[in-house]
Order: sequence, then C-alpha cells, then structure tokens
Amino acid sequence: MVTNSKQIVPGILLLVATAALIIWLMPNEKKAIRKQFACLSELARKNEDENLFVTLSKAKLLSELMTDPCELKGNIQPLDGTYSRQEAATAFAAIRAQFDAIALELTDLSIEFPEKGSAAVTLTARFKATGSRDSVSEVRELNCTLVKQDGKWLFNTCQTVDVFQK
Amino acid sequence: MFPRINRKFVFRFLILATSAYIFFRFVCLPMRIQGASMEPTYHDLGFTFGWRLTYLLRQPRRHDVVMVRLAGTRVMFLKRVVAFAGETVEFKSGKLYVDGRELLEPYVKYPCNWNKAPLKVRAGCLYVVGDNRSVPIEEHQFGEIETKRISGSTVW
Repeated sequence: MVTNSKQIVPGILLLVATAALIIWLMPNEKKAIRKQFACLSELARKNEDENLFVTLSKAKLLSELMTDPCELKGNIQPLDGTYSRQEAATAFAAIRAQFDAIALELTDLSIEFPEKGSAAVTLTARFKATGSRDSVSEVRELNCTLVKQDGKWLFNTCQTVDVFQK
Repeated sequence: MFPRINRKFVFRFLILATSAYIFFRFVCLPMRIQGASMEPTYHDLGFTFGWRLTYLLRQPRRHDVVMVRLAGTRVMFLKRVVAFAGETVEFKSGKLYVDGRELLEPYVKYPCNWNKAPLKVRAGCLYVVGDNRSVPIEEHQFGEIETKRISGSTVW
C-alpha cells in the first residue's frame, strides 16, 4: 500500500479528534453530577410571572433532588438543619414565595469520589433574589456530598464554608 | 483585505487563539465587578483584569487589593490586605487599628462607625477588608482568610 505522507498528519489529527469526541460524549459519573447541579440551578430559578402551581411543583422537584432526609448546614437562605423530603419541599416553597425573582448560579465545581457511590463536591454558589420587601445577593463556597441511590445522584448534605473569619 | 486562508494562516490563527485562551483564562482574568464593597476604588458593574502572577515571586503587601478565591477562580472577592499573621486587628469607632496603632487608609472615603473586638491573625492567614465601610458591619464580608486563597491582584 502506498500512502501519501501529506495524508498521514491530517489522518492522525482526525483520529485524535474522533477519540477525544468519543471520550467527551461518553457518559460518566462526573457528568451525571454536573447535570444534577445544573438541574438544581434551573429548578431554583424563578421568574416574576411564576404562579403558585409552578412554585409548588418546582419546590417538589427540588426536594426530589435531595436524599430523605438531607442535611443543610450553615444557614443556607435560611435553611439550617436536617430535613425530610416533605419538609424540604415546604421550605423551598416558602423561600420561593418570599421573592419575586430568584437566580442560583453554581460555578467552579470540583468533584471527588471519597468512596463508591458517594461524591464530595466543592463549588461556588451565587444566590440572587429580589422581592418587594427583601433583596438578597450572596456568594458562598459550598461543600456538598451526594450519594447514588437507584442510579441517581442525590444531595445528601450541603454546608457553607466560612471564607472570612471575622 | 482579508488574508488568504491557507495552511499558514490556519496554523497562525490556532496558535494565536490558543495563546489568547491560556492568557485570559489562567494569567490575566477579565473581571466584571459586582457589588459595592470596594467603593469608591472599584465601582459596582465596573471592569478590571485580575493578574494571577503577582504573588508568584513576592508576598502580598499591606494595602494591596487582592483577589480572594472561593471554590475556583470564576467568582472571587476583591479585598484589601490590612494585616498579617501575628498582628492584632480591631475596629474602634470606624477606625482600623493594627497592633494598637491606627492604620492610615486614604482609600476609605465613606465614614463609618464600625466597632470590633481585637483579633490576632493566625499563622498562614491575612486580614482583608473592603474599602466601603459605609455598610453595616454585619453585611460586609471581611476578616481573616487563608493566604492560599489569594489568587492574584488587579491590573489597575
């Protein structure tokens, strides 16, 4: 077989690009966890025209991302303690009702797997909410643990990190 | 005139794009300022660049404006270094005292009445605070931070 040397380099590049694309598209646990955080951010978002039905259904969907029970530590707007799924849904609905618009931006996710079926995630969360009475704009570092239950990654604990020690 | 798209052009373009990505992603970070904690030095919705190499060869100095990272470098705090490990910081009637001596802060333009008990900065830490002290002390994010959280300084 005779191969033109000019075709070798593009051929190798194409092969590398194809391999990279396959690896990139392959499902893995880190992607599944990132997807859960994206889902959390999307469900937390509230527009000004949101009605009560949507508020309640989003609060329920948010609670379904959590384990039963789940633990929220460090006064996370204004959740602090252990919550059953039902209690979490009620608390999320109460927070949503308090504000007209909510945005939750989650960035800089760093994911580790301390043991099988468990993930430790450090991230930065920016919570912005506006309402007729109250407006909040907060940036926090969070440590979250997720556990895999029935093939789904669920939030088990979330804790704020005190970056500044006053 | 647009250059001819040939192999040389594509190669140069790729090199330039890769270099620009590395430079603006890891060395000189474009930053949009959100919040008023550094007023009037840095205004809300202002823009600056964060220079990540500043503290590769030297330690932060007093009065430096530094970037304090959280989980990563996408979102960071801008604060001013006012004290170092071993020093004692306190606020009395809006004035900042380091080791019992008032620190002159020409960048603080708004008066305040902050009071805070003395705190000795631990080893491996720095004490940082924003320039805008007109907000209530409870609402201002400041205090002792681990030195490793400092990710660079601002370009201007």
